[in-house]
Amino acid sequence: MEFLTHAAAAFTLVNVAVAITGLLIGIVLGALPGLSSTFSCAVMLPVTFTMAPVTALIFLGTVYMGSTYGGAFAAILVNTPGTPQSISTTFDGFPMAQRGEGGMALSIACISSVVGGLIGIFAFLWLAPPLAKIALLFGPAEYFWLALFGLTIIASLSEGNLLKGLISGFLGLLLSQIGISVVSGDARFTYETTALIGGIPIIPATIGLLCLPVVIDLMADSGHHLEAPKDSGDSQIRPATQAVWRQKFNLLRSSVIGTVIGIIPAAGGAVASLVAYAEAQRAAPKAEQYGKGAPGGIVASESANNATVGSGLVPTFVLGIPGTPTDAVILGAMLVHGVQIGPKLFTEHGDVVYTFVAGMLFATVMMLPIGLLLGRYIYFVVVKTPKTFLVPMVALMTLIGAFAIQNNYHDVVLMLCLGVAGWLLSRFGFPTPPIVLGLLLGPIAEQGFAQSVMIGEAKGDIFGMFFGNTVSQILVATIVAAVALPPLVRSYSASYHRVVPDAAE
Amino acid sequence: MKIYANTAIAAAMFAGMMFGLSGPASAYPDKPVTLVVGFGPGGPSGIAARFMQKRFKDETGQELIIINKPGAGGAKAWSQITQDPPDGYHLTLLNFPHTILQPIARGANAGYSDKDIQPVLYYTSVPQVIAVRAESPIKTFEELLAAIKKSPGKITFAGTGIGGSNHSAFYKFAKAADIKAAYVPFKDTSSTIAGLKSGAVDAAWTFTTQGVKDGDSIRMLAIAAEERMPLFPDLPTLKELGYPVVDKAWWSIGVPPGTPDDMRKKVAAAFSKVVNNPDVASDMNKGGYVPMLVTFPESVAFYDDLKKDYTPVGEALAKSKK
Repeated sequence: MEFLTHAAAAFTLVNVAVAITGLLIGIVLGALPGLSSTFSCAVMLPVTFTMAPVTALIFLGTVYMGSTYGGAFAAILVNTPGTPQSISTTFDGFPMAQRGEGGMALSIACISSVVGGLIGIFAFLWLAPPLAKIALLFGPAEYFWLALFGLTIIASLSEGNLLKGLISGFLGLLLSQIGISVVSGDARFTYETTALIGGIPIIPATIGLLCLPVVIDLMADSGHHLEAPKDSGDSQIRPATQAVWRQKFNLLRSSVIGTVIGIIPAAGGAVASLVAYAEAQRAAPKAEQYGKGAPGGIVASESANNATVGSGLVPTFVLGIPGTPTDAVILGAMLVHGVQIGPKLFTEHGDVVYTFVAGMLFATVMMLPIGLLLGRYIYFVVVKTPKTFLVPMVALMTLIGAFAIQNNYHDVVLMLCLGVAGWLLSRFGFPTPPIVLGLLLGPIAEQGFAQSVMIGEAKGDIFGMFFGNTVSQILVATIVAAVALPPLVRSYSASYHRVVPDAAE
Repeated sequence: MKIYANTAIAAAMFAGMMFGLSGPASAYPDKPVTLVVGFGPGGPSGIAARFMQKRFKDETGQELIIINKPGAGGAKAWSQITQDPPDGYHLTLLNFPHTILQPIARGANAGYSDKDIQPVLYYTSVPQVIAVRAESPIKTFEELLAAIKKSPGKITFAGTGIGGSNHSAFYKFAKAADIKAAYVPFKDTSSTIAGLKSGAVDAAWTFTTQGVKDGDSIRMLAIAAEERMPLFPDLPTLKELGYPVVDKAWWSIGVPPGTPDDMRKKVAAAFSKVVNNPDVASDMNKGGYVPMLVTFPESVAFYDDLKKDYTPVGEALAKSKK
């Protein structure tokens, strides 16, 4: 048990203090819209220069874990994913908060994050070398299919009007074309301005499209931001635990999905939580409730994204390929600290790896009491704060968030433009989440497609390039099932009882 | 009158803050220095900057603040150099040959021109390598060359981006060896390596830093450097193998155009102290980076030489696309 011998080293006073501090910093930064996990770790990197390598790793790892969970706060309370990983947490979290169940939603997010986080870390601890092989199964064609599968959840985000949802999705894909193309090197739709050469960055766009419409509505509407809590302020832990327990299969499936997608290089927590969400909805007996405040949606999204934290480290440590964008920062930190990574890391630097894992496990477990406690207070603060304070504060956060990630004034302008456009579009019944989805997945799909065509052309077998591999075939089958099954199920159940249209429409 | 005097002092201080004016006696740097990096924090450029940041305070007494402004292969940051005050406190990390190749390939869409690129201190480079994955049946450079010659155009090389340094090395080598192969661009260095390891592409043009990071899981076949690297003593140079191809990526500290020469010298002197710190050199060596030191005014001639080398390559790459 090499793990146990080195685990004790994680519980020195310094390492424990660093783990808790990292977790708290992560939760706070993650909760602020736009301050992503990658940003949080990068901003904390200089702080680690004076630390011992393993302490530095524990610090960055816990910041990462904390921020991945922290993203749920803003997602649930103001409809803005605090980090891209929690985009799909907004789908059900915000509707729950709107009808007065925000406390419950936050508790569910916390429990799911802890479970997902632990599963991801245990996967890293026990299965790292064999799991690293998953990373090698994903070539360009597989990325293309994976992105396409992610896009199928547009159907579920379209709230009854599939055509408008698809139009939104294509709008997102179109926006993702702007900028210097990776595969051709051409400048597309940039009109010789420097503002657009970098394309539409995902974080400012997400803030603009998902949060700004809420801010505008808050100003336009005299009512309260969120329904007053239905409960009297009693602890939500018991009902939340029960709600999560009812979703235990979903929880497990989503954690496994998160673990697997975390291992796939550069896919990351955002894709993982979207795919887990799509799968959860497909398997749910009451799929039509997803997107309208189903606890299962939060369970899927939050367990999957926290699972990627641990599992993303698998290819990072074993292969030297970052599993998620944030892992790239951790990889860089290890290099600057002189820790050599690669296949030999586990045998030669077992002390670093296992102490780090123990520190991560400890911090993830601590996330439960800290998260539940923080969640209650933050929720009541957000609900009780008068709109005259809340609106300017959220508006200021959107500005900071849009600027912080790339330090570019252009991004702030872009966020504002997309926000106003998003608000107008949603007034006419075009949902904005599919636009975000198109923006996020468009580049992955496009690059995968173009690279597959290039390789297929060179080999003289384009068809085989797309359909020849087992992973591709599985993904294609899943996409077909995702598109074809829901209408079939719907028409089947409709013959029993007429579906009542949503009262809100 | 006192109020006026205070206002005047405040205004002077404000102006000093804005324009970085400092008393003639003060030494550089007497306040934190910012360095803009046109890439994310985890890639080769981000790490190249962090090597400096780690020891900057020890050597100069001031903080080095790194600001990552990623986008458009670095162009997002380089297009904003001219907006920085030329005071020696607002610096930008410059990548070569990117800053030479991009304006050629992209023209007016590049967002900057070669005049905005003002290197004052080259401090590190990484040679490019040809690599295959560990599981590949190709074991040596000769076997790769034989495979390419056996089925022209069918062997695929991954690399980062179009018209960048990997693409340039691919082009130069294909020309020198008179071979035909396919180049497949990827988003960044880690996706390139991921593509290689997945087996989707046969080989890759990448950097020695990946040889360090990815250890036994990729096999480097040849290096495009003048001589072998101490870190990889068994890796032959393309030159030894009969193909005089040298291609690297260089990093330099850049100042905005219009920076006075004496300030350029001060910046170069301060950063030289950091580069000369033996710990910095050893960090770089361990990471696959090759430390170097070319300071202003020699950095100008060095830039001109790079331009002379890479301009024809950039033009050829731009033409090959059409």
